[in-house]
Amino acid sequence: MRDIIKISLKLFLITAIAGLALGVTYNITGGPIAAQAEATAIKTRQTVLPEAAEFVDITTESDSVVTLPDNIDNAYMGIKDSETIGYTAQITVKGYGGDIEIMVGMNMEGKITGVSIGGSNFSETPGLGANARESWFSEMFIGLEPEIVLNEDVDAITAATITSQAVTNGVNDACEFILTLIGGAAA
Amino acid sequence: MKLLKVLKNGILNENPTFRLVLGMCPTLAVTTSAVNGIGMGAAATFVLLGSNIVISLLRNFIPDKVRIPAFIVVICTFVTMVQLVMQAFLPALYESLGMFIPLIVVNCIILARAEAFASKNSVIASAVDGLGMGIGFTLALTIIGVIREIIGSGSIFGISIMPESYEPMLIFVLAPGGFITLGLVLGIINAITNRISKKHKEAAK
Repeated sequence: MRDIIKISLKLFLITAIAGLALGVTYNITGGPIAAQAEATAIKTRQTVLPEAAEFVDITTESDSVVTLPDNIDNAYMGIKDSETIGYTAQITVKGYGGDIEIMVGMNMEGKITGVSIGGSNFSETPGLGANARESWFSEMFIGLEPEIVLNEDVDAITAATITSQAVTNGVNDACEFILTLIGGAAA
Repeated sequence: MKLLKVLKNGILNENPTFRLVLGMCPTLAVTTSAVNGIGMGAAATFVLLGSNIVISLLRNFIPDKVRIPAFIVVICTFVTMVQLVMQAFLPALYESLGMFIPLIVVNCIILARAEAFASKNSVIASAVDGLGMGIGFTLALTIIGVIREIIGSGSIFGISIMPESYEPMLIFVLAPGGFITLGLVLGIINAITNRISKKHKEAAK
């Protein structure tokens, strides 16, 4: 009986200290990780809508506040010389191995200006679906208009159909949302 | 020198991939390219080093009856801490290696070395063993990764080396190719070492 108590106590001590160490590390790294994510997001927005000089969160800062549909993570208005020149929208889709974050930039003519694929939970198969993050794949979308059809408008990644289709669907959904914004702005 | 022997052991005699045949899942999954192989090897080496040191430090404290759960808690905690710190302060490194870190938690090599070595040896020896095993693992991953990448993608470390007319054998970057490559390399290594030990036996006679 004494043995069991002693062993349990030691195990408890190990797990308690492990939990403590993890909690402390999580706390310390929480701030920097959030800052990294924000910096990356700003950089990504600039990449998918290169013409824009600044970005305005359409859910909080713009003149006409919009509520996002369930599948859209965030959306920004791209502004240059005090004019709206386009929008960015981020959508998360289920890929082969996990969530894929896709950010789409579109100009006021309804043409895609850029697509960024990735996200912190990105876990597509290295060497196959993970190639979705390569520039040759995302650049195929530039200049296209929705609805984009896989293997007609853009090439799928060989042996990574699920990833390719998920990204294409995500881009289409994000575009659909942005078109409502553009339509609203024109009205 | 005894430490040098420990180091060499992890790289050659008891190479975790080709001799101990451990960590097969990540090996097959990650060797689709040479760069991925090296990346996984580097991350695993770092974790091996750390977990071996910590477990060796605690070897007199952990009760024998609950050593497996204790090892796993220590290893997982260490790996998670490494991942968080990397994500927060080394974003560039995290971009390239980050996705391999969670895979390391289920890598048998870490648990095997904790059980077979770190729990029974001094801290410095355990550290050297972790380093040796890590280097051996990285070497194995790189070899398999290079082979699979050359045949399956026509490139090496991302640089195209096959002529334009080469049609890459895609199967080699998929699961079956992983098994085939691993099996063939294991077979070749066994054949070579058998030949060498036979020569030694002849010489000893």
